[in-house]
Amino acid sequence: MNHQNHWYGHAHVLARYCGLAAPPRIWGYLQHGWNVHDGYGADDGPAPGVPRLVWSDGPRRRGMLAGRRGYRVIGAPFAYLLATPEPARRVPLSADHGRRRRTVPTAPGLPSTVDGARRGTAPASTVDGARRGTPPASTVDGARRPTVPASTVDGARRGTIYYPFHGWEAQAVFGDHRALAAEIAARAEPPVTICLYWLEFRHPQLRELYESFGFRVITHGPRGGHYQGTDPWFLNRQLAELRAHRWVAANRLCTAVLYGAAAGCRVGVYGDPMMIENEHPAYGGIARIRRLWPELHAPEVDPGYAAEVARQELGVRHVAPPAELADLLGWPPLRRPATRTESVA
Amino acid sequence: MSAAAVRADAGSVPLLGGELLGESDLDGADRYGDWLLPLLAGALPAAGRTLVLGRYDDSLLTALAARGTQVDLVLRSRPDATAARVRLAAAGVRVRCGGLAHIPVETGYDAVLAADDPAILSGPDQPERPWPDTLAAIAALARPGAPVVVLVPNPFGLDRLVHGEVVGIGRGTVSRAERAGPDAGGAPDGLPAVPAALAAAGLSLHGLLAAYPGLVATAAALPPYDRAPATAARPEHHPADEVPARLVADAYAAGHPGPVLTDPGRLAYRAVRHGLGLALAPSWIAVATRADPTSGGTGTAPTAAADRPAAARPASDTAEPAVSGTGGAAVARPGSGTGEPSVAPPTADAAESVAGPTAGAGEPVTEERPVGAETAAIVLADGGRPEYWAVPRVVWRSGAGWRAQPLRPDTTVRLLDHLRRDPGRLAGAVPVGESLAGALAAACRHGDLVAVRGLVAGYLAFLGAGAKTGTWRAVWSDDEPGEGVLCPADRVLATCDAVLVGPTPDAAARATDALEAAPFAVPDAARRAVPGAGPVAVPDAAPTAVPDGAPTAVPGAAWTAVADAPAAAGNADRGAGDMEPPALRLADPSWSSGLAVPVRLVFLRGLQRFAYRLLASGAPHPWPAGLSADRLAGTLAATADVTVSPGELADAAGLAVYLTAPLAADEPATGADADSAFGASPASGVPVVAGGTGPGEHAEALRYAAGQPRWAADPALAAVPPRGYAEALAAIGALSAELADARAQLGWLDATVAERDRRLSELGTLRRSVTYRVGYLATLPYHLGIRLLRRELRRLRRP
Repeated sequence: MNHQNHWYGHAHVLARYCGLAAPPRIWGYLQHGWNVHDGYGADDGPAPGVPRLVWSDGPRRRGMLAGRRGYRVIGAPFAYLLATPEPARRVPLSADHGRRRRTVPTAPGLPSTVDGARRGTAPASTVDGARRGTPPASTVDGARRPTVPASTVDGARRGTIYYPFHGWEAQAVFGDHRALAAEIAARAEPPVTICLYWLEFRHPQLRELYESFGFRVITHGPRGGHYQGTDPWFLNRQLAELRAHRWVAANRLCTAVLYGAAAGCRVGVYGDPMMIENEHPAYGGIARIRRLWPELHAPEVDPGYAAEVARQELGVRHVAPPAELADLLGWPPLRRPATRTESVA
Repeated sequence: MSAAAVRADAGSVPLLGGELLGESDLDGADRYGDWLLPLLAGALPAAGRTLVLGRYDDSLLTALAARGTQVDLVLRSRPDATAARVRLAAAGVRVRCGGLAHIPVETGYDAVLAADDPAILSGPDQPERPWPDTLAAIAALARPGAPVVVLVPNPFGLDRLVHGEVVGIGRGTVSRAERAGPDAGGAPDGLPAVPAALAAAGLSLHGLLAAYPGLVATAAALPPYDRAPATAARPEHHPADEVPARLVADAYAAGHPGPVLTDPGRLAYRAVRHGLGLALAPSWIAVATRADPTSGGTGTAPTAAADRPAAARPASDTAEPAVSGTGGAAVARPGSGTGEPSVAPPTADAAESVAGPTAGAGEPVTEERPVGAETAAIVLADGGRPEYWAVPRVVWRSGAGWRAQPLRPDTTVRLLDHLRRDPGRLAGAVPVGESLAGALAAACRHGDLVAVRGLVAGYLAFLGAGAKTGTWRAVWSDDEPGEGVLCPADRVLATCDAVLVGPTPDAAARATDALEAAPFAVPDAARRAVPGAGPVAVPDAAPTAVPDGAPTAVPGAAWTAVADAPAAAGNADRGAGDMEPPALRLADPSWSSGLAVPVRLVFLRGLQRFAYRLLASGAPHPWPAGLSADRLAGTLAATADVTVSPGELADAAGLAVYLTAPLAADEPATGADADSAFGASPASGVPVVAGGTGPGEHAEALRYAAGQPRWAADPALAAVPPRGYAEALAAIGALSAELADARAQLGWLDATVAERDRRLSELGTLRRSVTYRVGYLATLPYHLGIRLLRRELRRLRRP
């Protein structure tokens, strides 16, 4: 129906939840990110008469008030990922073979970065340490890498993963990354992983800026577009990365922070929120989000409250059983062994 | 009635004059039977002569005669009277035939019962007259001081709201009072006007009963909702408050199978919940006394007469009306006079004194049953079924809850074919809760998929609680044997309407003082069964903990619970503390079936029936309009993570036909005409139904099974037209919105295709570009070579 349904491998997550190898065509528009509007972009809403598959009840309420119809609250794909049994959630090794990787996935807390990062914030020394330890930072195409960072080999969560606010292909972000990096270094629990949007990750200067503070810099990769370049395991990788860290932080309340809260991370929102160009007034700006969730804008957020907000905004209670999800997405009825043996027909 | 006045003809019914010689007044509707007596027995004397006017079930006349009175039945239709005379001869009932005006008065009767439509008491030989005149004529037949029980039509009852202005059309008669209208001296203008209207006819009112089809309730049983502040004995909003509303709604909906203005069941339910159950009853039964002209005349207010019967007739204590205590003012606000008596549970003394006279008169009364207009009590005909299955019962308030007791002493288990009914299981506390169908419809109305999910999964778990694996033979379809999880016998008939969603037994026990009745307890497995959701009343609780991938969701849990309840018990910790899952229980636990049926089929049958009725009711739901009932049933099953096959859906429809089909002995005399449109037997006009089902259910099941194959092929045939006008309007609104969306979508698709065309044409211009031509010329030899090669290959392949 809509190529955005495949962004971040959302459709693939839902398909795996239903026990399918590949996602059939979804009849509807899947909300693709956390949204304080009606679930969709203010400029390019779904086609009329097509179901709006949103994460939580908030977008439905706001959309209905604006006269839109056809909402189905189904919960976020990330909530389905959490509900998928562990074996089906594990990223297969074959998924990494021969892929063009843009990430530089050193694990947080590896010896190479430890000396700089743990000691704290002296940029000069960490630059040195980081450069010594990390493989060539640009791109390691086709490299095999552990899907789970090394720090989680012992199952312990360590450090902080920080998501600087990002623009996208059509909207740029303005802000002082150096000041932000300094603030992160001052506040975040080391070791720190900076996760950049893939567009920003392509700029070596930006990467090196963060690395100069001793941070490990990664990206989760592009979200795909027009069914090209989709990583079906995008969310799985992100979940593994989040679970490797004790803290998730960002300079704005965003999807990744909610994911982190849902994945059991402690939450912090601090740092210059930066500016995005041409922001649509329908969203109400960063100020509106601060008014709605003031408690979440703090370096240390109450974990229970953060988890509760994440549950609400990711629509965890709306997660449907596989058969119903297939029905809601317009997929053919699931054929499952259990059903067949019980069938009397 | 003296022997001289009546021409005693040995072989035929004595004719009084004004009779209908050829026409019958029987219309197949259910009439008052002996189940009415618990609310009247106190008022009617157990000796002397009783005059009964109009049509009743034979059981009422037999019971009256058995009390020791001489019963005279007067019917205006000669064929009816002749038939009644044969049927009732053994009971000692004397049957006469004639119009109201021709019944000789003489000394007057010791009691008069006229609880039928006043319009059928006189024939066309008399001029039509307004209801007050009819009432006066009825009152004149009683001796002074004698009790008179008379039907009072309610010109602004639920019938008026459900049917619009034309009350009674299609249901037998149009009452004269309706046609005359209130301005022309017709029926009383509402509840407050009733005492005065009766007083004008020389009657002093002692009690008004709300008369619904197949159900009669005292005023105290239908109190206003905004009653006095909560007391320790009666906590506010007790779940048991719902019991009278549910009983009335069920009875009222069953009495209205045809087209209506709005859903009768929901309207009646809301009316009772709002304390309007008495004020909006389709009609009232007035229990009155004929005033003694020598002691003050007919014009005396009921206030003056109120004290009299208590002294004169001890029996009338029990019928002391709720509305007579302080005259008209109390009638206007029934709650003010009746709210409190319902608070205090009847003492042992009161129950005994009440039960004494009635039991002595041969009524099968147990000593625990309190009777009287002051008591909050409801009598149920349990009608619409063949007599064999019916278990009329009285339901009364006991503390904060409600208790029931079958009226007839015979509580032996009824057995026929696979069906079984145990009246003994109806005695005791009345199950509390809203019907599952109602709760599901409400969840659909609000588009609350989470609530739908919880209820459907709970229903599946409820059906499968305690289920065992076994074999079955598909007698409902192809007679093939099968093996799997079988539905417990008492739940084979449990459709969504037959299951109640209520508070958990713990919660109910806290508030209800009478919960010792074991049959109403809900199995543990059903209680824990609902993953990820709660009752509709809990709107936005988050049931699960996400961190570290604890399984959040429902998948599969409900179904695995069916096969192995303890195995899924680990799921119980999920919602603990966040919300209490609804407890499901049977509304009528007396029914069971010996048929071996897989749980899934019972589940699907329940969902199909709910889906069909939801669509037919025109109620809003979150799925696309124009959905077929089968498709909706499949969607609902999916909410419990059950994927169904078309074959299973067909089997479930076949099961519904099988379960609702009249059994051989259900209606032995006439034979069942299962194929007729409304399941009515043509000979008698009495609906032929199987035990445990209402009238029309078999026809509905047949329609469903017949329509099912066509729905799959042509969804346009799927839409069931709503029965109610209001619902039809809502359905039109929903369809219009969908149509607008569909048109907009066409426009969008058109624009999208035009955009794609434009891009294709850009490819066309590419072929005309210079660069393309240069490249083409450069590669021309290859093109030509390949073309030649292909041609040669084709030639070689040809034989």
